[in-house]
Amino acid sequence: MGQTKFGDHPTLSAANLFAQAFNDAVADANKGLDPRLIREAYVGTLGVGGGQLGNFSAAAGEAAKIIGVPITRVENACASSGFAFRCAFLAVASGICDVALAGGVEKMRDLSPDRLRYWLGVSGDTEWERLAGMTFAGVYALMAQRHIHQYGTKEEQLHMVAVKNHKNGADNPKAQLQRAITLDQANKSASVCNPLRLFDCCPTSDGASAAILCDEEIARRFTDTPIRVLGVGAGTDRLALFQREDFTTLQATTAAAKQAYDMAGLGPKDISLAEVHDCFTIAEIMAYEDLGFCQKGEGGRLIEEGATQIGGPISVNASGGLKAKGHPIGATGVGQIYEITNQLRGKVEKSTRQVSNPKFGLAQNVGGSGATATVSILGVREGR
Amino acid sequence: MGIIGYGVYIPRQRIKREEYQKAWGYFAARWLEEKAVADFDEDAVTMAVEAASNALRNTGYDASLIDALYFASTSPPYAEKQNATTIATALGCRNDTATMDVTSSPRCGLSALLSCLDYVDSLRGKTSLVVASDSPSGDPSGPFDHQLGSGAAAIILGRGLANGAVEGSISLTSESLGERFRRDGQRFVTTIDLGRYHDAGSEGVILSCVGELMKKLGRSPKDYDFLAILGVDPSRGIELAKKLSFEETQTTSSMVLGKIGDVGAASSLIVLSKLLESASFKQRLLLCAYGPGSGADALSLVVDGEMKAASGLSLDEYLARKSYIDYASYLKIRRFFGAS
Amino acid sequence: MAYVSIPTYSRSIPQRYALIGAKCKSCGAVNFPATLNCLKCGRNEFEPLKLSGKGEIYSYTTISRGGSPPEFSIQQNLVGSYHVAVVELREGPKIVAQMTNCKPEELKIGLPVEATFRRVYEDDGMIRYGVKFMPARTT
Repeated sequence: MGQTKFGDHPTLSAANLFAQAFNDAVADANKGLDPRLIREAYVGTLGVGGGQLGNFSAAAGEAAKIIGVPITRVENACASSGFAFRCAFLAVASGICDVALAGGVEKMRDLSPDRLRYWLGVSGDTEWERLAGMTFAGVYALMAQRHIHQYGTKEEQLHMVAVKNHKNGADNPKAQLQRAITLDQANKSASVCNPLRLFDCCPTSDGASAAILCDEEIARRFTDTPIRVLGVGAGTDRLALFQREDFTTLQATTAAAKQAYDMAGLGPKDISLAEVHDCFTIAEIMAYEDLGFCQKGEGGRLIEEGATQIGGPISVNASGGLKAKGHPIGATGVGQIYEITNQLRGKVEKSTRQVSNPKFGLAQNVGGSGATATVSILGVREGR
Repeated sequence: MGIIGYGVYIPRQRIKREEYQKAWGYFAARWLEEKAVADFDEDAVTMAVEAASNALRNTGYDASLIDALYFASTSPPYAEKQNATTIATALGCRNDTATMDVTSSPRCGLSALLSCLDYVDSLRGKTSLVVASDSPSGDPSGPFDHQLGSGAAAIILGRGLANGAVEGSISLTSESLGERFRRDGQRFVTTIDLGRYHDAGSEGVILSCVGELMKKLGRSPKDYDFLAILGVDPSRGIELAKKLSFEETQTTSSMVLGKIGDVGAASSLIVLSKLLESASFKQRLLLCAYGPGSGADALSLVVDGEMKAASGLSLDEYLARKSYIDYASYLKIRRFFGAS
Repeated sequence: MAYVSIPTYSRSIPQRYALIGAKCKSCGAVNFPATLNCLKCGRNEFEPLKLSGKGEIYSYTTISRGGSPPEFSIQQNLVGSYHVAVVELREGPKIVAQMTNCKPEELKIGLPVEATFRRVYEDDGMIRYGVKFMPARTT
């Protein structure tokens, strides 16, 4: 696994940023890995900025020096690298190759505000949502309003998610925002799209991530600490939020989770460690419910009880989540798996963030307002 | 043959004369208390859709019955690309509805109504709709903009039994220069203030117009319950009515514009709607719309049936639904800062 | 920079201007905006139905200054923050649109609203008209 720091990388192109993560991943295989063994690669990116929309796979491959093999750009908005990971998994599982690469990259910090605002809106429904003046944050705000209305969730509970994740991010040297905040600060911050305030929204980021997957028979050739991919699932839903039946759940997540849990032979109770897609704090609360960590409508209570802090019954977003770690759109999914892998190996950068003896970790990656999602479950030991 | 019903639309935002006094130290339109201001996302077309839609609701008519739709305005959003088509599409009219834009003078609301009547009278169609909607702008640094407001009114016309039977009309043409004009490509309507010179001109045209219509129909002021003169300040209108031997009680209807402003082409149809709303059975109305540099139209009609707006849609209810803005907001939403 | 082209916008003018929905001939569900296949039963035969424009707020939010999509930069510069709502129309479907003539404190889930015709934005030099929603004046 490899991941760059998320944040600002003004001097690196997207392709070279990806190459950096790739180099780290190769070096992470502590018994040595010849990159020429990689026979399939999947690079997740939205292509924000439009600098190289076509054939980005070749640009990334060239920078990472894996030209020649099949490389596919995967785009499912913010779930791009989650899907890339699944593609790499399927490639190895199908037997078409022994070693595959999955990763992602995004550069968002080098655009003018006007251009950036355009790109931030492309993953939602253009014809109706965007032309109604809707923004990405706005769509999640609509979900939050319904969650509050239907379940009595409190606005303050949203901010509690931000406080937890900022606290975690403060101990993550690869996080974009490494500054803890207080609940009072979060409660009083400027409104973005009510009820979401400044600290309820993830930042825009540059960053890259890479994962090298291989057949489990040969894993120990490359590393002492292979991590098993136990279950992978993916799902989709209607693109436009207003076309969905229920604004308080992401059907794409529940579908992906079911597939992943079934494949792994596990259930929510087995998971003590998770990286969920908190592009906005409400998304984390909904993820608790959609992933089965609590009943529908109970997400607010779960965060308020502190159950999802590091060391709690389930440590969620020990990395700081998208909130504090950052959200370079294409890189996020595999970035979550980077954290899970480090946690499962006991090798997290700062011991204060290390969850003690996790057996299984779950990563949930969502595209846009929930039109696409993947869930991946990893573990140190047999899941079946 | 005549008027089946009406519908009005007055924008919610209003600005008081005091706001102008604070900004400029004076307010040029003595007859005006406050005026209606189209919001940043409104224009003559959006207001026309609302007024026409209300007319359909008030009369219970479906848009599919409309055979012709005429749009009258001195501030059409497109100088070329027919605005009536957009309105007809928004209402759900058929694709064989005849559409037309009528423009270039505040008089054109009434002119369009007369033509729209001709459409059904000539048997080209059975039911037609005329909508006058306006949102004129003057240079904000000058006095003329002070009086200009926004609003719309639509009238549905038809053959056969009508609630407002048309007795007759007259149209006069009269060339004059400088009184109120806007060159092609210019945004602001303006005036060369020649005081008494222009007053004399408008007086001549208006007195002729009303006088000749009454003569043509063999009527005199005592036959009328209401007279409305549009196209000059309401107070001048009352003066001219007196010269025509009308009583003041017959002429106060024009003062409804004192809360809306000079609404260009829509003025005549808004006042007509007010008269239709408040007139009773068998009352007789005379409407005259003067257009500077154009001439005047006049219309005589008798109320033969009740015309009332649906709940929430009467002129009084629109006037009551208001929200005051300050002068800076006025400048912003009228887009005087050049951001179109 | 991609945008909503004139053909794309024009295709949906009956929906945007006049709220013409598509009633499924098989199951009776009212689809809006019109889709190729009925969202409920998947069949594809419809008859047009002009919707009343009346409904209730299902959800809403206020887009604060600085956040809007570029199509609304000018609007946001002139008038600051604006409100957007998902409205559940009487006939069944939901629509997303801006609110107007509405104070922030009036916004709530369940508020009866009705459609009004407005300028939504401008692009390619053409005015893009559509509907916004306002608190219902009448029942």
